[in-house]
Amino acid sequence: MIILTELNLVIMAQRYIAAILFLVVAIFWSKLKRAGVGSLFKNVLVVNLILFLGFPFIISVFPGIPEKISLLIEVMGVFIFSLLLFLVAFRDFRFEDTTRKKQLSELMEKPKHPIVLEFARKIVEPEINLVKMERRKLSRFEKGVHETVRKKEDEIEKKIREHNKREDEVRKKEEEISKEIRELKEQKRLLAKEKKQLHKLKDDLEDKEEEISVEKARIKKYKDKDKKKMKELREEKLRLQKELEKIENERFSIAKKKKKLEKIENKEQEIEEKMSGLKGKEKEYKDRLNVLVDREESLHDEKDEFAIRRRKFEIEKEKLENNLEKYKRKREDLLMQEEAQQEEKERLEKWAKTLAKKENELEKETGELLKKKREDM
Amino acid sequence: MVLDVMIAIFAFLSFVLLIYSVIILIRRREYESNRVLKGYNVLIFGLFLLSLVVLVKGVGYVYLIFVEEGLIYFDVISTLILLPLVAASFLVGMSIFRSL
Repeated sequence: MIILTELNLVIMAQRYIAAILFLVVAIFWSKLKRAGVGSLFKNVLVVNLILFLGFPFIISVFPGIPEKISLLIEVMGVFIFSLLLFLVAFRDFRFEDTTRKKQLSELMEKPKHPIVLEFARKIVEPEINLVKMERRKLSRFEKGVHETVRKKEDEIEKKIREHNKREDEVRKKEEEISKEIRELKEQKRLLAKEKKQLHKLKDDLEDKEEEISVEKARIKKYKDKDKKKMKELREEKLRLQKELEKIENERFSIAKKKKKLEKIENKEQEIEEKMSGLKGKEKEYKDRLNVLVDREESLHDEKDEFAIRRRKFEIEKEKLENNLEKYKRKREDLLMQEEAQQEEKERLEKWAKTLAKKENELEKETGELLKKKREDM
Repeated sequence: MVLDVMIAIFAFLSFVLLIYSVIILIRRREYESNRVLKGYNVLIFGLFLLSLVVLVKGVGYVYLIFVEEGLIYFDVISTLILLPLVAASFLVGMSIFRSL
């Protein structure tokens, strides 16, 4: 953080220096213009505008303007002056260029002029070069167009082949389905025929039962009247019994066919149930897909949140590292101070010891001197 | 945010205009007299440096819009290094004109 603030200070100082330099340049230019340097240029306005580009940087340094606003002023100022510079320079350049071309073309009309070749080089050659460039561009463009057309044709052929294949498959499937439909129709028709036959047989049976009952009644009448006719009646009875047996057999075969019909109907129902089951599964898959898409979105959101947290964590980490570095520096400073104090203390102790020694020596010397004085006395 | 976007847009537009201006100025050099050509070249170089300053500022503010941190490095490049160079090149150009 300290480094950043220092850097900001340096940047601010550098901006002030740049502003001062721009001011100095402006002052120099005004002096030079007064001295008449401006007349050396074809268009002084261009130089003026180039130097005016430093003006926004001087304004942005004024105190009291918020940082963003000053930056906006700076950039907008640069934009306006650069636009003006571009317009002026472009107009001036076009004007100069056209006048030069006119002059050169006038000279070209004089064929024996020694500089004609140079002018031809300046005027005719660029145009020839331009024509050549255009030709090259056109040939490249043609090549590109041919290649793209070829690629597109190949793609279309591939697509046509795929389309034909799919059409064949669809036709085969249609044929299979039509075959199945025909078979089912035939089966239905057969069933209807058999039903009709059954109805007919039922009617016949009923008629024959009625006849039998009539015959039975007759037989009863004839029993009482004539015993001779009994034998004939027995024979007739036997015949009728045989016919009954035949009818029962036919009934049995009809019942079998009925069972078959029921089986076919059951199969149809099963197919319908399977179809409905498939539709249900399709719905389930769609629901699952939607759930998966929702989960994916939620995962993306969580990922973004995690990235934001990570960034915050990194900022805090940087701050903590800075604090740790500060703490370490302080600690090192304190340790250094402690060591210096220790050294000072040791030095003082040594000095105290030497002083004590010197005191002892002085006391001894004074004692000796006193002794000598007493002896002299 | 709006200010940042505006600064970035203006910076990029200025960069494009400045580059075009530099190209035109280089092409129209032949119409200037030989006496002022040296100073003129130095001024064009200063203009080119200024276009770089504007470009770096624009990139910095685009970076600020998306990342919201780290503008200081772009500021270091543009303000600390390039902007004084621009001013210095203009000053050198003026000193060359003075010697005429």
